[in-house]
Amino acid sequence: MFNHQTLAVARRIFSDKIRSTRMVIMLPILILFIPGMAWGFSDPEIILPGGISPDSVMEVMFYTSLGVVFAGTMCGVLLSFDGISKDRFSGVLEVKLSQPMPRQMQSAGIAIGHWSAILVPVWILWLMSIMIASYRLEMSPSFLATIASFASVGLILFWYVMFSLIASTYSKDQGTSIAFGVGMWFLFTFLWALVTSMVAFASGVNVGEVNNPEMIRIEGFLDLLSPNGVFHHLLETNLADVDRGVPKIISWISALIWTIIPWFWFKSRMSKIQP
Amino acid sequence: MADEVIELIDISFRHKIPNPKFTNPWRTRKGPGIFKMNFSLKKGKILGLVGPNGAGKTTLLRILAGIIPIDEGTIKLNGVDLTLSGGAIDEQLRLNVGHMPEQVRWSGNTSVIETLNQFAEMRKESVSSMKLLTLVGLATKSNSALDELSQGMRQRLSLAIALMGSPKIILLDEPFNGLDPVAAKSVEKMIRELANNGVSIIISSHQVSGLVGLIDQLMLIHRGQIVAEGTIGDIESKLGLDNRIEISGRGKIPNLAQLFETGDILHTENSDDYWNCTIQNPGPLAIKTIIDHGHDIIEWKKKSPDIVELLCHATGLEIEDIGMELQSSNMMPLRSTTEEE
Repeated sequence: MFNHQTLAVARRIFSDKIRSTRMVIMLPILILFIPGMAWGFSDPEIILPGGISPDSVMEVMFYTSLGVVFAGTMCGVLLSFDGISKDRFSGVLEVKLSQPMPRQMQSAGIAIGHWSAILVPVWILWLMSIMIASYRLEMSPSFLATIASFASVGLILFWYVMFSLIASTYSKDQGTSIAFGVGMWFLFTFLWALVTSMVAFASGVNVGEVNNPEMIRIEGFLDLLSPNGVFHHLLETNLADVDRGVPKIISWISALIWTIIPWFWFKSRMSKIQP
Repeated sequence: MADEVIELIDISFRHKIPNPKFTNPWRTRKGPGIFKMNFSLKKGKILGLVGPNGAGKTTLLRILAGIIPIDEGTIKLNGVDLTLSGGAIDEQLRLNVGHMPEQVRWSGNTSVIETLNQFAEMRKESVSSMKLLTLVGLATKSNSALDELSQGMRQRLSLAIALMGSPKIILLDEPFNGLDPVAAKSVEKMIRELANNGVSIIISSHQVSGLVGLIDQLMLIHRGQIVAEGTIGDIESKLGLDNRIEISGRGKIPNLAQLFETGDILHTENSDDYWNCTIQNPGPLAIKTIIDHGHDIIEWKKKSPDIVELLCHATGLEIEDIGMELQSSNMMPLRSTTEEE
C-alpha cells in the first residue's frame, strides 16, 4: 500500500504545509494550548473546579488533551480543508491524476502528507508537555501509557484531517470545504455535550444532577459516536480511577472504526474524483 | 495497423449532473459527454481537435489521459486493449500519455524545479528536470517560486510535465493560450520536432488559424460527436469547400456572373477603386478571362476554408449557432453517421 511514490507525495505535502504561512500562524496557538496547558495543570498548587488536583503525569496530560481538542484538531482542519479542492480549482489535480501513479497510492500519500504536517508539531509539543509535567510533578509516566497517549493524539488528528480531506473532495468551492471542516469541529467540540444532554433527558435521566451514574453511562456510550469522545476514552484507559462503563477494548475498537471508515471513504472518493 | 499508436472504438461517456430530489438529494442524471467516437492516430502524426465550447474536446482528452473512465467502448494502445472492468483504463495508458491541461494555475512557494521533481517522483522516473526546463524555455526560472510565474510560464511548466517520461502520445489542451507570439512559434516548432521523432500529438485549440499548417489530421467535433475527420484537404473536398480562388483587383468589379457561367460566385466585395471575390470551380482560364475583359488584377490565390468554416459546413449550422448556442445539459448528439438518433 505504501511505496516510494506514496511516501514521496506525502513528503512533498508535509514540507509544503509545514513551511506554510498557516503553520506559522497556528504554531504559537499550539504552543500556548498544549505545553501551556501542561505547565498550568502540572502546578502542584492547582485546584480544578470540583476540587480536583491532578496528581499524576497522565492525569495532567488528560487535561492537557483539551489543548489538542481545541487547537490541534482545528489546526488539522485548517491545514487540510483545501487539500484536494485547491488543486482541483487550479487544474493541478488534473495533471496529478494523469500521472501513471495509481490513485489509491496518490490518495494514501495525500492523507499521510496532511496528517503528518499537523502530527509532527503536535507530537513534539505533546512530548514537551509530558516532560514539563514529569519535571513539575517529579514523576515519570509509564512507557505504555505514554505510547497510548501518543497514539490517541495521532488518531484524533488523523480523524479530523481525513474528514476535512473528504469534504475537500466534495466541495465545489473553498467556502464549502472550510465550512464543512469547521462545522464538524464545532459540532464535536462544542455541540456534542448538547446532543448528549438531549439524549439523556429523552431517556429520563436527571441531567442537572452532578455525578449521576446513569448520565455518566449514557455520556460514555454517546462519546463513542464522537471523535473527541473516543479520544478521551482512549486517554482514560491510562487513568486508574475512571470508569464510565465503556470497556477499554470497546474504546479501541471504536477508534479503529473511526480510522477505517474515513480512510476508505477518502480512497473511494479519490478513485472516482474527476478534475 | 502497426503504425496506429492509439485507437478508440465506439467510445461513449456522459457526465453525471446533480439532479437532486426531495427523496434523493444525491440523485444524478446523465449530462453532456461524447457519443460513439471512433478514431485512430498514427505514430508521429499531429491531430487537431476543433469544436466549439462544450463540444467534448476536454472530455475526450481526459479520457485519453486516463483520468475519466468510459461508459462504453474500447481503447487500444499499440493494438492492446486497455479497457478494464467498470470502464476504467489501464495504467499503461497514463504511462504512455503526457497530458497538458488547459490553463493550469500553478501557485505556491514551491520552486519550478521542485515541482518538476515532484512529478518525476510520481512517475517513478529519473528525469533531467533542467533539460526539460531548457526545452520549454524555463531554465532561467528553475528556482523561482510558482507564484512568480506569468501565465505563459505556467503553460510552459505544464508542457514540461507533459513531456516527462518521453510519452508516445502527447495531449495538449489549448497549448497556445497565454503564450506570446514568439513563445507560440517556439512551441509550434517543438511540436513538429516531437512529431518528427515519432511522438503522436493531439492538440485541442480554439486558435484555429494556428493549427492550419501544423496538423496532419483534423477532427471536428460538435455536441460530443465527430462531424468530420481527415486531412484538411480531404475534409474540404468532402464538404465541397475545395477548389476555390480569391481574386482582388483595382477599378470597377467585373460582371462575374457573365464571365463565370460554370463557377459559383461565393462572395463579392466592392468599394470605389477595389474589388474582391471568391469563386468556386472557376475553370482553368478564369484569370485570363478577367484580364481579357480589361480588368486589373492585384492578387489571386487559392482560398482554403478556415476551420470555423469547415465546422459550419460539417454541422450545417451558422457560426452564431455553433459558437453562441447554450449547451443544454441533456443535449443529444447532433446527428449520428451510423444510426438514426
